[in-house]
Amino acid sequence: MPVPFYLGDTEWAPVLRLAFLTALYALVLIAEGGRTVILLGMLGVLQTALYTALFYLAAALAARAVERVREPPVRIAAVGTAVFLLVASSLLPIYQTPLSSTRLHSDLWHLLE
Amino acid sequence: MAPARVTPRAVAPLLALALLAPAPASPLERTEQRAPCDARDPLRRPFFGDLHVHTRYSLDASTQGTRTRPSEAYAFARGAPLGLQPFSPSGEPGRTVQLARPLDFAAVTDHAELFGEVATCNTPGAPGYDSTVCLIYRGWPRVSFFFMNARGAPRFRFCGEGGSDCLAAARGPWREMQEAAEAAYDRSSACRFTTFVGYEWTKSVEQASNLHRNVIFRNAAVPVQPASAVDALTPEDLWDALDTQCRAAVPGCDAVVIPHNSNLSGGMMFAPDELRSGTPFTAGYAARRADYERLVEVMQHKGDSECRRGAGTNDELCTSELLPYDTFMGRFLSLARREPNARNFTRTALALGLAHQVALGVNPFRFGLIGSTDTHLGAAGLVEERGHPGHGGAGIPIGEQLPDALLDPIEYNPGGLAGIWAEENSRDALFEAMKRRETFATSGPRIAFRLFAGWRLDAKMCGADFAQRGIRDGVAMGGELGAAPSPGAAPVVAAWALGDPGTAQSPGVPLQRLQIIKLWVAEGSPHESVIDVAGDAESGATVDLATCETKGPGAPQLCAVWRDPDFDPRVPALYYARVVQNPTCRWSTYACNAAGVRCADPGTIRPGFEGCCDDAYPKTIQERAWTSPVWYTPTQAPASFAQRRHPDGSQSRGMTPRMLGEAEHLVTEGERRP
Repeated sequence: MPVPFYLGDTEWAPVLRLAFLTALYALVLIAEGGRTVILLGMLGVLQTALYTALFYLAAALAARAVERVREPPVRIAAVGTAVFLLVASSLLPIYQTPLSSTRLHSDLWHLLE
Repeated sequence: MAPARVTPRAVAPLLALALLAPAPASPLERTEQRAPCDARDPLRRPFFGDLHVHTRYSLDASTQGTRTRPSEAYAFARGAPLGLQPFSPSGEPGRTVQLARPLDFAAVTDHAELFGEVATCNTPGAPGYDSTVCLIYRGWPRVSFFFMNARGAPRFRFCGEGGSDCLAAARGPWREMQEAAEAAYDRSSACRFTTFVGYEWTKSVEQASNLHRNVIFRNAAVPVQPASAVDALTPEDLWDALDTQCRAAVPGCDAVVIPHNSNLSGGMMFAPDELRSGTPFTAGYAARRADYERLVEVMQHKGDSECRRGAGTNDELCTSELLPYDTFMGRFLSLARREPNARNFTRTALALGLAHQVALGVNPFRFGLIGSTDTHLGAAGLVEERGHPGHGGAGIPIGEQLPDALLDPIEYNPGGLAGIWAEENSRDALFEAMKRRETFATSGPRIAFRLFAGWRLDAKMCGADFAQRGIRDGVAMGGELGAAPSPGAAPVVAAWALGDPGTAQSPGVPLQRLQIIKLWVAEGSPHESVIDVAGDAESGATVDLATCETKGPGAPQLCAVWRDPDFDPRVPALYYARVVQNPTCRWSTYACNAAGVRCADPGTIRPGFEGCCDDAYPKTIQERAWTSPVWYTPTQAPASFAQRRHPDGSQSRGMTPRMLGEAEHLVTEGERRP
């Protein structure tokens, strides 16, 4: 699920990409330090934690709602639909990635560019 | 006196002759060995060039995939084709560009700050090549663009103790820049092309407020190493470094320092206090600044820095190529986006300079005007709107493939050119012209633009002997008018603009109107007056947005002689001229049309082309040119500048620049006064 975040430039991408970029800044932070890198690293950590918590909460609520569905076929269909939508959305080139070195719009396969 | 209107076609041959007519030779200080130029014109000729060019040695260019070497940038300026990113795995360029007309001069001005770091990260085996920073630089250049650009002192750890490894590595690119400049410089008597060794001092303060300056050296005598913003933290430190490492250390070394993008300075470029000490200007400071900073780059790809309508002026033409933010931070972070105020613009600085002149006896903002591109592709002088390939740098990443999108942020533009009036196309002649500020700026077209001012200029001097009369009876732009010869005398300003003839494939666009802009300070406020003196603002010239075909009348050249009807000999003033072409399509309109975007049909607005239909950005432009000013300085301060008592009890002589800053506006006295 793409989310908006800011790391020196505004992106619209999966949280996994945010975590990846944060890790890059963390590597520089360890190697070099520097105020800007600290700022970007902190921004990354905060946003990653925020979105992870939000998604955890959303997933917990969704799981609770699915638990209430009594008929297994309906429950399987609901879970399957949710998984399909998530995977499909991640495969579409819908992510704006100004931090990308190779393209303006990306998908899950180009998460680490 | 009414301005003299001329019939452009009638005077065309005469004005062309004016360039070629003989006149007494003027002395030119020679500082280098070279063949005398065959074509030498004591009346001076207009030369077009680009004094702001980045190549692979600038971090922001290299992280955008630019591979252009300095030698290739100079070859491009001389007319050779240049391959641009994206490159194939075998190194074949995805795009090729070429100038329709070579430039007369150019300077590669890479960012001095990270010469060594960029060279280290690109040189296998170099100390630091395998560092984390270099790994990220090579693997994720867009990420490194941010944290490397933001790095000041101290240098990265991979640069070794005290940055010694990177400083040593920086000498390689610096040497290559010098060698490339030397190899491309035409020292033969043909004098076809001139190069300057230079670099960009890239200092930003407070929310990335831009204080950037280009340093252009007179000849091949240059410092061992450029003074970067890592080592010279303030403009004052830069001048110190040039004093000690150039003028005092290297025989024949001299430099001019050219501020640029005051529109992105957050009002800091022309602040009234010294940056290093935080204290108000002194006469010594003002003199030193005026000595080094004789020119200002008023136009380049990141916008027009002359003026902004609504920010201190009502000038109706101050609406072209304006950025919607006043610092680099505003470019990348919408929360930090502020609308630029008057202090970001050259016109305000020129007015402030008059106030400083009164207060200090010296004008620190005595600028001649130039334009340049600031290309980060190494494509010197590539200013065509049609087919604009982007500029690299802080623009759209190209990467491995050309994005299906606008190739530059919508607010950027292809950039401008520098014009210099000089006797010949040699380093000494061009540099002397820069020092005397006999320069002009264009937003791209090769409009030859000249201005003289004097007390006795003939109202009918728009003819074959325009230049001879101007030199004989007046002063050229960049100069000082001097004292009025008699009570009741008034300055006469003569301006002449020869439109860009263009090429067979891309004919030039006619000129629409010529204006004189007068600035002065009086009654506690800076004032401006913008006067149409030739051409016709209501000519009805238009452009078809679908085809970009231009229609309507215009002039191949415009000339006018204007006498200041409101001149007050007690008041400091300056005069410069501006000329605009008929409307033409902006680069983005060409690109949007080529992409099939039709704003009425949302289905045609693909991602990456949203800017095509953003009403904040115009579909058309009026390309333009500006002369440098001529200044008038009264011999005695006027009564309104007499001793002032401040609320805190202190007194000062006259109106202070700080007070002008508080005013934050220019009082517009009149527009369109034919």
